[in-house]
Amino acid sequence: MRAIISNEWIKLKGHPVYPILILVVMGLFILVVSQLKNAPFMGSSQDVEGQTFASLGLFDKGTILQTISYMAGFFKYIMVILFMHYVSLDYRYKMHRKQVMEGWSRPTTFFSKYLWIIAFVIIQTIILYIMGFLLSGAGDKSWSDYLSNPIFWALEFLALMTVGLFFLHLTKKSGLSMIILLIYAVIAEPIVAFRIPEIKAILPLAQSRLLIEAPFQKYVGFFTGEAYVPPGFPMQATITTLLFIVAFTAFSWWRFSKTDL
Amino acid sequence: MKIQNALSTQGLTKKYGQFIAVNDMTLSIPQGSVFGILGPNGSGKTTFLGMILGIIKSSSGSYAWFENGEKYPPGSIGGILEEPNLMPQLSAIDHLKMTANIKGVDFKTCEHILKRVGLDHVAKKKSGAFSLGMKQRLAIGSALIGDPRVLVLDEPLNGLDPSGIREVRELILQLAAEGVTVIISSHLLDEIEKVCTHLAIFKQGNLIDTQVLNQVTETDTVRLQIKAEAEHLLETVKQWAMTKSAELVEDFIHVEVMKPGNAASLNAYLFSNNIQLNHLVPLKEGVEKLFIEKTK
Repeated sequence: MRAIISNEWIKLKGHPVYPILILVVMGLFILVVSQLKNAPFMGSSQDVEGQTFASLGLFDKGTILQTISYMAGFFKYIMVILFMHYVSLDYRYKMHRKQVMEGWSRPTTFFSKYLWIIAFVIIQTIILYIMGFLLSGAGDKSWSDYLSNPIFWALEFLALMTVGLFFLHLTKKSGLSMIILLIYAVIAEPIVAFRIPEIKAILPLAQSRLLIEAPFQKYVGFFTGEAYVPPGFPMQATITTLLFIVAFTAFSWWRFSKTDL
Repeated sequence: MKIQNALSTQGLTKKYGQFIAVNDMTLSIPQGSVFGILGPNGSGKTTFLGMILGIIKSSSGSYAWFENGEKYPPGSIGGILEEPNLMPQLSAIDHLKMTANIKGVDFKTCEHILKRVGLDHVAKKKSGAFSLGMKQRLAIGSALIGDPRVLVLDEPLNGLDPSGIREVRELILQLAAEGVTVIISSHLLDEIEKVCTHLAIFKQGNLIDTQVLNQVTETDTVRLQIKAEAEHLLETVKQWAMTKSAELVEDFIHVEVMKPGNAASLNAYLFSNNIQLNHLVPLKEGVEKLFIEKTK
């Protein structure tokens, strides 16, 4: 494990643009969320006129974890694309080949790429908790009802990441895999989920989107929810998303293990 | 005494669809040898080396390293396949440190290796700014980390200038003297002849021939071409104790003389039998001739 961390650190040091961009996006997210608290809420519903995010209760104790976890989801595509591009460097410069020739097993080479992804997910999840506690307003909700939301963000991110990495291992080309991912995630899967709702359960990203309920949906005007209800634990979506993460990692490994490096 | 093999392959085959890149390759590479692989472009050299290095999946057949038949003993093998695999943003020392990490070797070794491959003055320079020759030397340096028992070098002389070629040649000979098995593919027949003890010739994915190179390059015997206006010349030559073989080739007699016999001692022997040669030329039948014959 020491060798993996040390090698990945050497590679990361040599490509500072990736951690810098990731930190910039994380910083941007923190800035946006912290500024949003007292920003006017823009929705089409009449009862939100003149209201801020905080006055609508979206930054209340507990609820804030749902709000910021949901909003962190807006940044996930940028993060996933940055990670995909970074991981693709190993294909471009044939680092997998070099590492296997030098004595690492294929599983070690394959899973070494998950080091920074896991590290990022852990750090971002912790940031969500810290921001939640720091920016929280008052309110009668319970923290315990919302504690799972940052973890749901992590699962949602990992679902998109593993699908993206699968496309990358399939094509071995960063640009092509990113295009395929965006077409799949933004166009193909949502259309299929909308047209054939019966098969939503087998669509990985559709399932992951069910993890965190949109916290301000009733204020946006598109929805007709009678009252804001804290979400229950989305058991089915959690299990399905976890299964998809494992499945797509397994598909990627299968592809990597069978291919010539 | 039984010769220990560094590598044995059995029916190793690689197919890409209908195309057979390497076909039923069975060979043994003795430990401590410098084993040259020759073949025209597309003969399967790189695919073969890729399979034994574990980075190209074989379609069938098997290979085993060393006497205990390991599939791929970590750290025991250093290799270069095709072009050097380097990240242009990383420095020379960074690349060696990564290899040292993988092989569990102290970082101090990296500086020593950089000196050995003549890159110590550019240790912190990004490899993207290196010439092809410098990249090649850095890749060889990476392969040398951890004192491998076997070094697999695919076209290691590509991009090297004459002094670079000489340095790599000397390095290979030095490693061989230390007991390292070196497997090397190259287009440079002359270089193969200079460093290799064994030779395999590939053509269209098939193993055409294997040779112990000193039998090809006349180190056990001396081949001579002689001519004389004398009767019974062939019989007289055959009767000499140092003659291994003699045959008539057109107007000349080709004699294979066992060492320490040589041209002078053959001449002296024939002179003592009242035969005066009017033509005595040493024959050099090296790798090039063998290669051309076998790959026709």
